[in-house]
Amino acid sequence: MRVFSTTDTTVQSLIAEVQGSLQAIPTFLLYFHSSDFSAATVASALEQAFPGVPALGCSTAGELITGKMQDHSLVLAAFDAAQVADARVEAIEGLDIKQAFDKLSGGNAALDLGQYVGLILMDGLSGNEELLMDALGNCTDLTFVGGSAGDDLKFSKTDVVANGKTVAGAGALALLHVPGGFDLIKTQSFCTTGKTLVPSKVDRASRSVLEFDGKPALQAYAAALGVAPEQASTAFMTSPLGLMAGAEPFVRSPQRVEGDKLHFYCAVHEGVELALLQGTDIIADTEKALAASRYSALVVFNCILRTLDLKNQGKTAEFGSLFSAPTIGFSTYGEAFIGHINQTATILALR
Amino acid sequence: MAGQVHAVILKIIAARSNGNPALAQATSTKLLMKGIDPSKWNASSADDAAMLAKVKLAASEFGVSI
Repeated sequence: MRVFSTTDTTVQSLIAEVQGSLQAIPTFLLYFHSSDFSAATVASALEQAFPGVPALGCSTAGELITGKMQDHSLVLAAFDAAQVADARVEAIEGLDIKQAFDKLSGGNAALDLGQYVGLILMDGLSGNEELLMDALGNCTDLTFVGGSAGDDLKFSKTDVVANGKTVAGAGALALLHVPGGFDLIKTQSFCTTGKTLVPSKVDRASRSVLEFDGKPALQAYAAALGVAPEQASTAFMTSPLGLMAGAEPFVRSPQRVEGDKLHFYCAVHEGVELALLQGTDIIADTEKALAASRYSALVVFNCILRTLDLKNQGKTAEFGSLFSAPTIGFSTYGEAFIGHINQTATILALR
Repeated sequence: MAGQVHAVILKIIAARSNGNPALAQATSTKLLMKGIDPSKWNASSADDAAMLAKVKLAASEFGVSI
């Protein structure tokens, strides 16, 4: 995997650099860009320069490239046949992710789970991530990892582009044949507190909780934290909730207060217990997660809330330096791994 | 009746994982994401009608015959 970066929104200098650097036509192009860039301009330039090469990209809330986090840029990875022997990319038309997956897989249900891996990029403002991930999980056992496109915290419009075509409201999939194999890394920096909350009244459509354990949601959350309700929102970043799969949290992050309701960045289910989590060290936890895997290249989907936390702590340079292998990634509006999750980094680690 | 919810959960996990522990874990997590926590149900759990309908729907979505 070769990685490239530019702040030139015409991307002409980037195209020239990529064309001049590669020895062969890439098997797959993956790119992430700030909302400073026109998705259509980028897609068109790549189509012209690399006709027929499968390409998947999206807008971001910050970018990650080997050794550093950055903003207002475009990062691109060009894969060769040794790493990605074959790639297919499909837009999700409407919300029919099964149709997109069937096209990708060619109806082959017996793909080697150790050599095929999927990527998913979704519209980060659509609110459709739970629906899409659920339907994808129904139709395949292949692993898909990815994230929700961002727009530099403007919350106006995100772009996902599949083979030059912009996809609105849903997203796009890629299916990669990686003969060398891969690992999936999921890391979030939280531990459990031993306290739990059970949503007893929810509005899934608006991703909000009206009541926990029969009490107004804000009051119950604040009581669990041991703070006054009016102070609860200051703890959102460090004390989200987690859906626990054994010891593994799938983080649900509170977004805002509306009266006694709590809105989240992803939907929760009525009656399913959530653990109150406590923040730990993002740098140390990510370093440990990376050390437990072996890889030659990384594709990173890092939650914007983690990025903001790192920025607040002045630790973006330290975080970026953890990614010394060839890396491409972006700051997401949500991460994808089995479901839609928050405050997590999901990472495809290619061996 | 008791244990029907648990039995359907086991059937879904067995059918989707074919004995592969990683797939069994992934299927269990998928159920959790659907609002069904496999760890909360066992063979003696009283069958809640709404939850039984929910696990049957999940089986159907997973393409598992019950």
